[in-house]
Amino acid sequence: MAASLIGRHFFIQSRNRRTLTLKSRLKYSSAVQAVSNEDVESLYPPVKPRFPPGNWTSMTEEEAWTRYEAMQEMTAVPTVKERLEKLTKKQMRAYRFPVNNKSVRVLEFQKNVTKSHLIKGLPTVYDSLQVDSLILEKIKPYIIEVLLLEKERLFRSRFRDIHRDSLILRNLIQTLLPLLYEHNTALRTSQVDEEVDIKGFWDRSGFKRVMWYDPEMERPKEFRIKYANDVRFQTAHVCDVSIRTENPLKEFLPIDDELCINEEFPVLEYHPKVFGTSKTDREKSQLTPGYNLGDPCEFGLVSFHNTVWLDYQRRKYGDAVTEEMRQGMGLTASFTWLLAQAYSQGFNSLLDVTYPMTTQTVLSDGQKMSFFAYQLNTIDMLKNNMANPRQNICWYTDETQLYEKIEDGKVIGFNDETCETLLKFLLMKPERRNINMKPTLPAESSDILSETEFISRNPLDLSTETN
Amino acid sequence: MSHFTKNLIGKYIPLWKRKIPKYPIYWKGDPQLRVFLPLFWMKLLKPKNKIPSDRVQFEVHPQMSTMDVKNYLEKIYKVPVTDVKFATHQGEPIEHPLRGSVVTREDDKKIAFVVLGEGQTFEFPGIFDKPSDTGKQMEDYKVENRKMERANQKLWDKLSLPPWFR
Repeated sequence: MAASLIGRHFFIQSRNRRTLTLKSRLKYSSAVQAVSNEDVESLYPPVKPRFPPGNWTSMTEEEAWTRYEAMQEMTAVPTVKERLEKLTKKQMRAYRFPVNNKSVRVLEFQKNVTKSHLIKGLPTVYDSLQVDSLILEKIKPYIIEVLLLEKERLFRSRFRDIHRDSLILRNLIQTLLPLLYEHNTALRTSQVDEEVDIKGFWDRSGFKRVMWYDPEMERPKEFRIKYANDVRFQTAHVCDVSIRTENPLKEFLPIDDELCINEEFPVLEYHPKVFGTSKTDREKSQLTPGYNLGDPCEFGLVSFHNTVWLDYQRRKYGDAVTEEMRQGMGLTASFTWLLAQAYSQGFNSLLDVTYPMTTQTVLSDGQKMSFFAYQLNTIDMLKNNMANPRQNICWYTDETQLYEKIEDGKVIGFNDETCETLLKFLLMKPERRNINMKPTLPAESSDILSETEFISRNPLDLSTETN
Repeated sequence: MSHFTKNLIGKYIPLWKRKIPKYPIYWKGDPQLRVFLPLFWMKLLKPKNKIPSDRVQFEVHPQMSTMDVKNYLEKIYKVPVTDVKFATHQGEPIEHPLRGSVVTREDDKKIAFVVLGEGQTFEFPGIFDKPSDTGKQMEDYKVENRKMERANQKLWDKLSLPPWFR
């Protein structure tokens, strides 16, 4: 079917060429006269401009027009659910982009694919925050009790296991949160979840992909195959604990800052399969931010992840390699959650975010702790650096210990600084921004859950009818 | 397997393709086992895709493990290694010359993807990048052959005579 169509197309093209040559002969004949009548209105429709409105450097005309039309189609879709259905309708193979990436020396690849910039040390907001010594003293015995319970008293403390490490984190936060309600009012209305699925997908340009291939086509060999310049990445991860709030966190940097804009972002020369990435089957892409659409708490405050797998890698490769892996884990974990949150606000890889989004992540073991802060400035990875100069930023700290060791029912060498930073992360106050958080969606659009009320406001009528 | 076939295999399978014999079992207290000149081999490959300078690809003996590859490079050539991963490529089909059906396949290949230690780099030498002289020689031979054919066509009636008499 396709072969016959394309064969006809070629035939027409060749015939046109012939007519052109005929015209050129007529041009030089004396019969043709130059006529200039500017006042007469042209009967033909106006000429289509070469490029659509917008910045389209490094794209061909065909690519730019197809993308522009896709953007316009996407804006016409009124709800988030229908947009996601439209994006995931096509079954395709994507490259897996795991959070716990076990292959060696892939940090630059991870940075490039997520288009993020790593900075050591936390942003300046945390320096101005100061935790009262009263709060610390109040909370310290509770933390110590949890640690003693999980590390010494319980039977499961003898075994090194994923479940044990995730249970430490869960137990720690369950005890901490009720103590902190009076200091941070946002936590009162927040939602806390355990073992949360976080999945996301996005398209990235710069890598070659076979779009279609037909060996039986009646064409020269070069034109039987067509390549596309974009590749889809898919992440899937299980977060141990996630805390979500009604309002978003403050932005760490304004979006027009020098750090957020980088026109010389490095271009990776190597294909993803060089770094040991595997492909998914031909299936629909998946996306979950850890809550259903229309949830009142849509913005993530903190997420906690265990780092059991890093210890196995440390035994295998040593400290220098695992340090890179830890940075990559914090980077990808915070990126995927923010990506999924942005999708649920109506943005996607076609419609870029209009305001920066932020989260905080904690990787911990019970003993070792490391802190990450991430600011998402772009999702649009299809455009060139010149067309889209924005970049995402990830701040990270070194791995610090909460305590030295546990002996005879006592925690020795409790580190107050790491405990302070943990409290800073939990006491960060989200604020309402005076902007439209869903600018791409129409104002009347409403998702499913926002309409429903699981607990009805009208009191139940329990009176029984008696004869 | 009879005694007769054992000898046959020894004849026709080359040494580098043969199966590696089992190591003797180690009991505690025995002297340490040492294997001198094992049947292992590794062949450098030119990678199809462009790869970073700290990575190398090899084709290896199919019985080699990751530790074998690591020890091979570290102990003999003194090259530090961080990570080794494997992939097997299926052998190409061998077709019947007349029927065209697939009779057998060539042997599968085991390929090792090695990540070198810190600060180590390697670039595949450009031995095969130069245009070879054999192509030129073939073209010259074809031209001369064509000339001879032309001459023979002209002097078709005097071919039986020796060339100095034509």
